[in-house]
Amino acid sequence: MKKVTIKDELTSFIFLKDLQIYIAEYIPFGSNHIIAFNEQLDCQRNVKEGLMTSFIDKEPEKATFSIAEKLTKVKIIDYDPNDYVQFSASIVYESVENQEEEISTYVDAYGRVIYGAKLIEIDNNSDKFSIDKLTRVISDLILDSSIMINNLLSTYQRRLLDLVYFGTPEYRNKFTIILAKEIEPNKDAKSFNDGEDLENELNQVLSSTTNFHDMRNSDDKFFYGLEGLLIISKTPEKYYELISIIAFYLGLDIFQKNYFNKMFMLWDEIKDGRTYIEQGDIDPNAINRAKSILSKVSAAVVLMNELLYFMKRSVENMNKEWELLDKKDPDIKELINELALNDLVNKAAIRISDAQLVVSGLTEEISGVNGLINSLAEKQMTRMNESLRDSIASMDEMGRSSERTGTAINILEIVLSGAIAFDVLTFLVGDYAFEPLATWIDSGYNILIWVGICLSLFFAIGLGLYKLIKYLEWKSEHNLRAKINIGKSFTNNFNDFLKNKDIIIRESIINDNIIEEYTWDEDDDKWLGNEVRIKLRVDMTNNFILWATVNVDKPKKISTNQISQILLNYLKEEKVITD
Amino acid sequence: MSNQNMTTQMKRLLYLIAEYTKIGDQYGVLSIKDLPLKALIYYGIINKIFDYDYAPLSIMYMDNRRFLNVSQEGEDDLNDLRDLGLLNKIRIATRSHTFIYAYSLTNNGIKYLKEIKSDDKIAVDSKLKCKCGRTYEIKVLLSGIYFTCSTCNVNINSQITDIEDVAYKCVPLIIKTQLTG
Ligand SMILES: [Zn+2]
Repeated sequence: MKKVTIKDELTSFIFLKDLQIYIAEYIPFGSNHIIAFNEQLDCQRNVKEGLMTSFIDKEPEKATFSIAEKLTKVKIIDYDPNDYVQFSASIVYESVENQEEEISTYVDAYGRVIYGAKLIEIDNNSDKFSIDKLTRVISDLILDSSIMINNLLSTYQRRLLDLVYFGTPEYRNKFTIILAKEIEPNKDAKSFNDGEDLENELNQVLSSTTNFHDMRNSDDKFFYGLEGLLIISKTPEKYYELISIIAFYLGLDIFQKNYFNKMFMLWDEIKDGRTYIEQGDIDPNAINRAKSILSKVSAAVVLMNELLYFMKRSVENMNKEWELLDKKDPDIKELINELALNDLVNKAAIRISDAQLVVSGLTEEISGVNGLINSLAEKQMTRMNESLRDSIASMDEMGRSSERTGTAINILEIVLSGAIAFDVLTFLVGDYAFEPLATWIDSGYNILIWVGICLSLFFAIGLGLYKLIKYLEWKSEHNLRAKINIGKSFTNNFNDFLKNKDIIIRESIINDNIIEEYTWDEDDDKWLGNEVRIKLRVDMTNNFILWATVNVDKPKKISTNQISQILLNYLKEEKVITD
Repeated sequence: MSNQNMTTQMKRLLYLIAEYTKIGDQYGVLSIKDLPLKALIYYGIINKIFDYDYAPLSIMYMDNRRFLNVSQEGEDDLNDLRDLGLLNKIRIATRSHTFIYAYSLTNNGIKYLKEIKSDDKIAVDSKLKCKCGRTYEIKVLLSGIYFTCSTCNVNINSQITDIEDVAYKCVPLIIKTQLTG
């Protein structure tokens, strides 16, 4: 047995005798799971007793019972291959020699899971049990049963529990039903509702006791709280069948509450995804973030939908059991009424149809957000094309400028070839060895005339070449680009000004300051019949326009000076900058 | 209930909340969340500052349930302090769409602080505040709730998540349903 380590002296007020503890929960099970479960438990071969050696198997892919110092032995008590199985399991703690914690587990195809234990002894005390200590036993049973059943579940079922219990199914809560033959102090149930010591102790085990009830037709009484039911009766057997039904509905109640919390959280996540997309104009990572949220939520919604199917089947089957329950006994009838079980039974089904609606809404929202992602991706693609075109244009510009350099080199080549031609000429005629010419030059002031002729020739050729360059330049220059340094702070009208622009490209550079670049096209009259693309570079941190470039494709009667004048006037007219 | 019914436990509890919800010298500015407060109360119990019982209770803890050492008497005293008009209890929605509670002092609560004996204040300060005189920063982590003081480099586990074992013996109980017949 485990050692006692209670740090505080307990003051106990309530004691119980002859204790039976039932712990209930809902786990999605179908007939298939029960068949598999039974196979796993080896019932098929009618090995009804003894050690279930297959569970000590250390193969990692196999479910195993031997984690750390937990459960080992499983004995089949009773089973039906398709419907249910009941087995006993003992939980072993390595540190302790004489372990005597053995509980039974009932699992059926409706997902009803009940763990049962008859309490024999706490702290060497077997006569009566204080609620203080009982609470510790129950919390231990709730935690241990989760570990134990976890080893028997399929990977799929574990995934479902993981989803509904927010990734920590090992801490999930369960509904506790306690049957005791006697309670001390032996008073009316009502008198436990004292708002002080007695009620506080009951709250420990039931979590907020809401109903303190004395049966009208017998000495039986019960206490009902948010997470537990305590029935005091000399004849507990008569409640067994009802308890198995209560166990299902209250176990399902806990499960459904978690299910809804999870669903609302998925809604929030989708909402986040939508927000990312709405910010997609600014944040280039928005699409990826939204996509990853969406795929996570979609996967969860698929499982949520499958869970609905499980719950629906379970509730349909359990409702039949509920109908068949013998409700004639007055105490049974009274308990049913006091717990409002009818409502609980109805609520289970209503919740499922509610959940159905929410899940379909969620599915629609997912496809809606998916659509938004696609259109945003398209928009970003268009923008990418725009900036691609922009960079093609600047490459074009580079090409043209190198073309002009090429022209200059060509002209240089002509000049050089001219020089070579002259050299050849000189070589042929010698230093004015051409007799008549040399004689003519030598006579009088003819040398001056000769110089004049040479200079004129030089100018004529020079002019010709100049015209040729201009012509060639004009031929390669199809666009005009002006960069205007503005260097002025912008006014509050700036955002309105931009709002009316069809921004094609927006780029942000975030360092110490936020620098933004906005690019848009204009073709109205002020641009003298030209189509222009304007790019504005702005320091958003200091509200400062740094510079602008204006690009004119196939310029018509417009100069860079004019462009810069038009732009500055434009910004002033729109009151974006002041003088 | 009148102020005459204020027990030592209630006075200490009120003073504890007051200290954890003040800014500078000003009382009643902040609210303290339920979970950190539960951790303080539990730590107070095991250090003999509060004479309460406690037991494991499954409560909401970072999106899911967790068994924590919770004092029903402490919870009861919190409600009594609220009934006396000394505390506000505020409900807050959480990320997982459940609710948590938080507590703050009312004006009457602040006025009442004068009537708490310095013995009680010293007792609370000795274990539930850092030795430097400041309140602890309370961190709720998956591994537990911790009290820290970065100035003094202190990190204390409240132990609220350490559920104690009791020695017990139980045998399987045959479960009857309509299926088992
Ligand atoms: Zn400190």
